[in-house]
Amino acid sequence: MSRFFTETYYFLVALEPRYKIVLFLVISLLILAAAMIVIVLRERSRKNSVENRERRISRNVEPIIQEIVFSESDGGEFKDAIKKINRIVDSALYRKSNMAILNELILYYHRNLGGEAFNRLEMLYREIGLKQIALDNLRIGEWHIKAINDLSTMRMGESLFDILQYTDYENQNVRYEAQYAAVKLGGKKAMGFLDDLDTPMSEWQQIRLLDQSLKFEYELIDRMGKWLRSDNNSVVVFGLMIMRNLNQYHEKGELRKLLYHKDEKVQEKAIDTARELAYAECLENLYEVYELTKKIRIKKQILCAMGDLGGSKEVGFLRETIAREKEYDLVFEAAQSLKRLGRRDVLVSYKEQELSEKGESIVKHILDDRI
Amino acid sequence: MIEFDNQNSFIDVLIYVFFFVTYGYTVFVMVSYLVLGILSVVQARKYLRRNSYTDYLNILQSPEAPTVSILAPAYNEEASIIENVRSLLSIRYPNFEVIVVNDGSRDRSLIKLIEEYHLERVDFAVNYTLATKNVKAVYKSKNPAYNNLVVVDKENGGKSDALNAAINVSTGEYTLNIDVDCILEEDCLLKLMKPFLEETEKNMIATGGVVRIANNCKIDKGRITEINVPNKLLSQFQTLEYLRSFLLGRVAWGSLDGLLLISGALGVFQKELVIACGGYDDDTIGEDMELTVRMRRYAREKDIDYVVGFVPDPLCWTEVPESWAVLRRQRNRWTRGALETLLAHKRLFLNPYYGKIGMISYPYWLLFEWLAPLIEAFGILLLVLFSLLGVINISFLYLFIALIYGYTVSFTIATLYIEEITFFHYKKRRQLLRLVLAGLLEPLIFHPFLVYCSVTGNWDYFFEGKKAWGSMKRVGFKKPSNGSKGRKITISKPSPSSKNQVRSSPAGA
Repeated sequence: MSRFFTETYYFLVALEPRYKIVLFLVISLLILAAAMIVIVLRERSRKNSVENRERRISRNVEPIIQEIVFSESDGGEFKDAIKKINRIVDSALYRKSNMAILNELILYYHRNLGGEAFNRLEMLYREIGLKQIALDNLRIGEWHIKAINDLSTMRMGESLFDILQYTDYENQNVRYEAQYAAVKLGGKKAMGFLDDLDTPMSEWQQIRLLDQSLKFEYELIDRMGKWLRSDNNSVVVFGLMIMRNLNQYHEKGELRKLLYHKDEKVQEKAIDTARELAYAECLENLYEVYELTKKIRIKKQILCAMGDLGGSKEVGFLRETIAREKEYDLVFEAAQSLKRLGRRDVLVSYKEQELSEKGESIVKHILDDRI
Repeated sequence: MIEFDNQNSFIDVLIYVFFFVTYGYTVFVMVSYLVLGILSVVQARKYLRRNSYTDYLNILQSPEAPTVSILAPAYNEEASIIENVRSLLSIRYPNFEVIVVNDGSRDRSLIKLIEEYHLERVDFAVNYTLATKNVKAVYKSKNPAYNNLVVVDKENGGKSDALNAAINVSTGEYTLNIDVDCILEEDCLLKLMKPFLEETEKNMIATGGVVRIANNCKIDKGRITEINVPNKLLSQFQTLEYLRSFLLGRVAWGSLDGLLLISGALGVFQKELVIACGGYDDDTIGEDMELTVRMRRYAREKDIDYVVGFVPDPLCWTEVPESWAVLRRQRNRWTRGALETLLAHKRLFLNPYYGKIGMISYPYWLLFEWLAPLIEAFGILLLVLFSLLGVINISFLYLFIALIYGYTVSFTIATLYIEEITFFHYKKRRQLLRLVLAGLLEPLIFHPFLVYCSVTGNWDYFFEGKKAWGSMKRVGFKKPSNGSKGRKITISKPSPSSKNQVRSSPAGA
């Protein structure tokens, strides 16, 4: 055996340097591949062990949580339950990880329950120390998003001021999560961060914030004007979304100005908002914008708005559009608006007249109620 | 490596250059794969971390969600079309329509759709913004439950033509273009739309997602209910290939904004831009890659500050060929498709005006996707020749081949490791070991086969002028009981009368 090794050694020593390099690489790669297989298998074992621990903790903790949540236990029983849970999760090695499992379990129940059970879970979350862990994580800075998410999911209103500091944070993901949590915990009063927000908000974030805002009761949002006047277009668009979804009529003057906004997205949203709020007074402005703009999308929006806001004057305009416009989309939109204005008769008369093949098919399409 | 004579003859220099180029090229390919691999891991982890708290319910309930049209071209799909359409209709998204285009099928696809979904012909005004073959009729359902289903019956014109017809009748701001035989994850549209809604600085023009292999997976009511590694070795090879290609390759290119291909099986596009740049090209068989490249080119030429996204989540499942003959035809076609696109857009090559795609992506595709198999085949031929002539050092060559083999295997295992720490789909230990075993055999069996397909693809393109698709006959879903293997796909020879047709798997995986 030793002879074999000696011979191999001398063989390797005698090799040219380029052979040595390639051989070294081959052996390294083989070792690397083997190591990776071992790592993959170990990773599986680790996952299995975590899953087992999760199952064990869930099995033991769930009955206690259910008891707390669904029975009318008094303060003493509540403390006993917390002691029991603490005993279950207590471990010299896995305390942190066990607390994380417990955290997820409580969050899960919280998402799926309401009423008194909801309040009891919040109390449990505080008493057991999970709220403090989340706050510590928030302050340490390593787990910002997770901490903010947990605190807002558990509706820890008292942590609102801690969270508000992050609504203008440099990291976009943290900032978005903090903005969302602020609206969730503080309602419309916590939306002040939008007043001077200079970073853009993505459409995704706007949808998230709107989703939370839709839970507000219909009441006046007096900050709306500031948002609509903002230099930040994303804040303006969000303001318009809030305006139309929460029926905020009081800033109609600002809305009228936004119809002329230089940003196409803002302009489009403004027209749409005017339509949804049935703001018929702005029709004159819409005519003006129609003449000024060259963008088909904006023209389409205006024709669509006329279908909801218009009267006899608009019928004439729409008829004229059908007759003179060459752009398919505009003719289509005008015909659709005429139908919405209840003027099928106009469309039928077109059908009887000699229209271009395209015009005729559009009118037929619009008159077909099955589409 | 080369044993020179005392005097360096011309032949010696030539051989020396050959080896220098071959070894240099190989090392360069290996290093580039490594870099892409590292980038992918970073990107996939970042994606998972960022999305671990994403609540898609926000958008699912939102009245402000943008409208999306799902475009599904179908040709002779009677066996599976009902299930597939049902699966599309059950996608989770608040504001979408499904447009199925019956591209002149010669089977009962349309009749089955009419019967199942209570369709009736409507007076739909088709705007031929994109030129297509004649649309014979448009159908809508009498049942309000299928209100968002539109079926277009048109003359046969091929997949690109069918997609263009679907775009013409669509009303959404975005289009999700799919292969009708693919199985989509329920939340695929939510995940694919997220990058569009998240982008604040640039104009997101398209996003793609990861396509995985459905062979041997359990499928019930158009949904994957159990993920398994395929039984057949050939499909296992393709599983590894798809993993490497999507998990490592495209995720990395996505992070670099250098993607030249959004798979035809799954991609969301900004409709306005698709129309502006002329829609799908009827004259190419690699229509998905061609459109992606053309859109990027158009955006750059119109000074649109754009970006193309990629979602690392597996969102679409497709069945891959289980026979060597079918696979050969498929790969041959993919080679010709990529080649067509590369030649059609040769202006991009090392053109700094086009930024990353001109300076990095296009040259990479050219050198490592198209040329690599050709260089490999040429190299092997020369090596055989040189060894017969006795002018090369065989032992060094063996060692170098061992290095390439070791690298390929390590790379495959690294891919499995990344899959393990990210999406973790193959949960059974036995399945993992089967893939490792396939990874050991793949460089010896599957890779040479792919080289062969690529060489014949090039030959067919340049010397035979072949451009037609192979048509497919589907058998349809099997019942999921008894460990069902889902559907089976057989691809028959292209019919002379048909320009079709629909591919079963994404191009250029």
